[in-house]
Amino acid sequence: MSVTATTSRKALRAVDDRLGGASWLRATMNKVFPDHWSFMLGEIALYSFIILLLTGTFLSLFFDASVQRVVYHGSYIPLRGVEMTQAYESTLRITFDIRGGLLIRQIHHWAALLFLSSIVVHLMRVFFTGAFRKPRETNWLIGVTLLVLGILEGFAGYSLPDDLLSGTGLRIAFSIVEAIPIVGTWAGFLLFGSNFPGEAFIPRLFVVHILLIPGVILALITFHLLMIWRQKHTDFPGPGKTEHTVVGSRLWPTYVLKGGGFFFVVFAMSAALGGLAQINPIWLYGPYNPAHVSAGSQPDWYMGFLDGALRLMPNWETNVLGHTLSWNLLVPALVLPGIIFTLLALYPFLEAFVTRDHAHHNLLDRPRNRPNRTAIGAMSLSFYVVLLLAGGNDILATTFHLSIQQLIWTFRIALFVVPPIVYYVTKRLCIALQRSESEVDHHGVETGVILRSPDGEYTEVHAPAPTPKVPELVAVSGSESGPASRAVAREGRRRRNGHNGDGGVLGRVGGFFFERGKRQSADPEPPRTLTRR
Amino acid sequence: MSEQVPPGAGPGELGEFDPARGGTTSGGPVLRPGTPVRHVGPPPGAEPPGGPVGAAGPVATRSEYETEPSEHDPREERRAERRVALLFVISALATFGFCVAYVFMKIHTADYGAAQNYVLGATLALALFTLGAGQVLWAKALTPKEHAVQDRHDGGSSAAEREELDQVFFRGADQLGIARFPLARRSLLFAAGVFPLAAVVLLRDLGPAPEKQLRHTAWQPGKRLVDVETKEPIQVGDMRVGSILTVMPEGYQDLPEEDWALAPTILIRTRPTELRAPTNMNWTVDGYVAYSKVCTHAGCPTSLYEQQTQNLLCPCHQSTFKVTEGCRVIFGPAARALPQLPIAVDNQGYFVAQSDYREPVGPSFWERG
Repeated sequence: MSVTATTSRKALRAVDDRLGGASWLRATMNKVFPDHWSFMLGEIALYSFIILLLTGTFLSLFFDASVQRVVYHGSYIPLRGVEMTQAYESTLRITFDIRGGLLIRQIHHWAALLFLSSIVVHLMRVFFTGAFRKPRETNWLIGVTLLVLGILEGFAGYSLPDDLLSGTGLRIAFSIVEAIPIVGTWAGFLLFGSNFPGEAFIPRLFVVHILLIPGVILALITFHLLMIWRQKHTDFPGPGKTEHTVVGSRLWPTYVLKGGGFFFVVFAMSAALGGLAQINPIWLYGPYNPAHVSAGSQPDWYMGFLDGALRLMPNWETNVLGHTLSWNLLVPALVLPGIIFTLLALYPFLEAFVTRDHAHHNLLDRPRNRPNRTAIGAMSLSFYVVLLLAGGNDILATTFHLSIQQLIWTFRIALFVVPPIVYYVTKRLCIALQRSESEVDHHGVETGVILRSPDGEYTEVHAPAPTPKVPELVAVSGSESGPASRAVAREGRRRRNGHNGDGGVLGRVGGFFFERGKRQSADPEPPRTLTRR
Repeated sequence: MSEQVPPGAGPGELGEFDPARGGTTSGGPVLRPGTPVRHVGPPPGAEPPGGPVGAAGPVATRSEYETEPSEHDPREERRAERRVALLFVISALATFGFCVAYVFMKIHTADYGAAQNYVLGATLALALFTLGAGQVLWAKALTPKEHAVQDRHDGGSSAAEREELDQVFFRGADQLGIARFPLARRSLLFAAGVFPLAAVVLLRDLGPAPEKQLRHTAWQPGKRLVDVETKEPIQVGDMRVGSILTVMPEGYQDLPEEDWALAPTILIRTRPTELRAPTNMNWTVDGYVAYSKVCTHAGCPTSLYEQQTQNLLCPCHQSTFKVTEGCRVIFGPAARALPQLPIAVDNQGYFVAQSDYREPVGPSFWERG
């Protein structure tokens, strides 16, 4: 036996002697995970969080979160002799006087963007495939919380260097807090320790950024993973896949190696971006000064939708009994995100309530087989994208030589017109995709070969449907998942066909949700799910 | 993670590859005869720690690990191993390259260390990428493909298990006497309910009371207007018609920032004939007019002045104000005109403020009225 094997054996024995974990360890190593590229999106978020912890620790060794005013004498000549806060000065020091400092700072910033981007894409994957359904609603809630915390954490992070851009962002944040009815002014003064900008806020924000929020995020990520561990990962339907089993490869050695390797690949991407793509060049913005602002001020992308909402909101403000309500701040910055994230968090429960689907689901949906969910998702995304684009309207206006007023009006109208159109188009597309598939299923593939029969009739030869290359994409979740989901599907059909027991709104909404295209429901054949054998 | 420990099965269940559940179906990967299939299950007759799982289906937790037969050509395998090793060697070299760049490349250069940053980033990225890619390649090319099937444990525990839990819980609750001792229960809720007050009270000293701070700025009667860049006072005739200057109250830089953050003001020289209502003409001097620079929407400095149209634009959210008409809002999310600063000229010909702003400047707040 080789030395490594002996050592490994000793280590395994040592663990078991002390914790008695042999069976647990064995089971852990044997844990099976399904294999699909889209299951790695959440992994990217996890890995970028680890990168953020590593690079953030390095930065915290040099960053000085103080607003003590100093005169700059560092090596960046254009700012020499300029008065600035120590927060800004130490960020310049990290950038210009500490080897690798700029690299780590830029990796940190890029990893933050990557963290939030991957969370959003991961969320889309979970949404469109129905992975949030029972029993995974709790993990959905944790995920939404992580998204919100990630946004706050990102904002706190890029506000710390106290440069002109971040100071402007904090000014807007203070104004939003001020606008909260009744308690706003007090809340602003307590948070900032004085009127804006004050001396207390940057140090406080530092604690929030490096301890409070990351601590909560770390705890929630741990819980998120434990839940996945406990409930096992969802999988796409396909041959050999059932609601009761998980099919894939084991943690040891496959996923240890693949997952570990993927971490380094994600880290490599962040490092490449941090080394080669400039981000947040605070030395070009200059130190914060309430009297100055840089044109074209843009927040990081994940704040962009809020900025867009602020830009699109009409200038409404009301005075009631000597008190001011600034709808132009409250609606876009507090009410709207409140509604967006509440609906996002509640979606699994709303869908289960409407469809009365309370069954366990371990197999995922194909988006086209849930036209309404897919359409709702696409509609919500289009709403978000309009807001995001509106957040860059000044850049769009200067780049494409457009009138800013016309652009804002276009976005204002688009915000209400585009989502319903997207909803309708997506739904029709899903149904059309289902139909074309069922067409191929029933009648085979068109061959382009035209036959003339002896009595002169022309017909096209149809070949039998080929065995799909990716069979798991064709089968429909629930087709083999036991009586519970079949009952749900039956319920949907019943409602769609108008045999609705309660005849109430809920029934109609439920039927609407299950819609599979009119032609199919008018089919004299008993309705069935689309499954290709 | 006790769910990992198979809760036991009848001996007959073990090792059976059931095509109906998790096995192969038509069209799926078919087990080749003679394929080495290893079954890992519980020891026969093991006591189930958690009782039967789920209402339907067999109780057994099965795990089946089917590993593809090793048909690797040894030479092929060695070639793959060399590729993996090559990636790891490149990674190590890139790490050395990173160290060399760190030690030998200058950071205090004309380009402020940009070259070093590129090299550090590129070597680090290369080291990490090859380190990761090597592992992925190892997993893909050198480890056998496997088709593993494991039971899920859905649907909660068995009815008996749930019943037992209920019993334990309600026995405990009964012993506690939650229902029998309402006084204790209610007073506990009351005490726990008021306790957070202590935490709320503790937060009081985070900051001062707002009082009238949002209603006042650093401007005072007779305070000179100084250029924010040069800190020099301004005389009539210093500015051309159509130009704009950011001004502050003289001596502001000696105050804490929060005391002058609302004071930034823009001084604009217009033709006297251009100014129209609701501009307060008594607060202007010979076509010079001063407005708060703090946007009434979200507080950004409104700093983009369009000479042609005499519009003032806030770069943050594009609120647009008409300079010649009392800086009223003509577009965007701002609800109120920029407040006008009453200005005059002192006996030495310098611009001074007649007083502070007559209304609160900046964004709205609840008590503003």
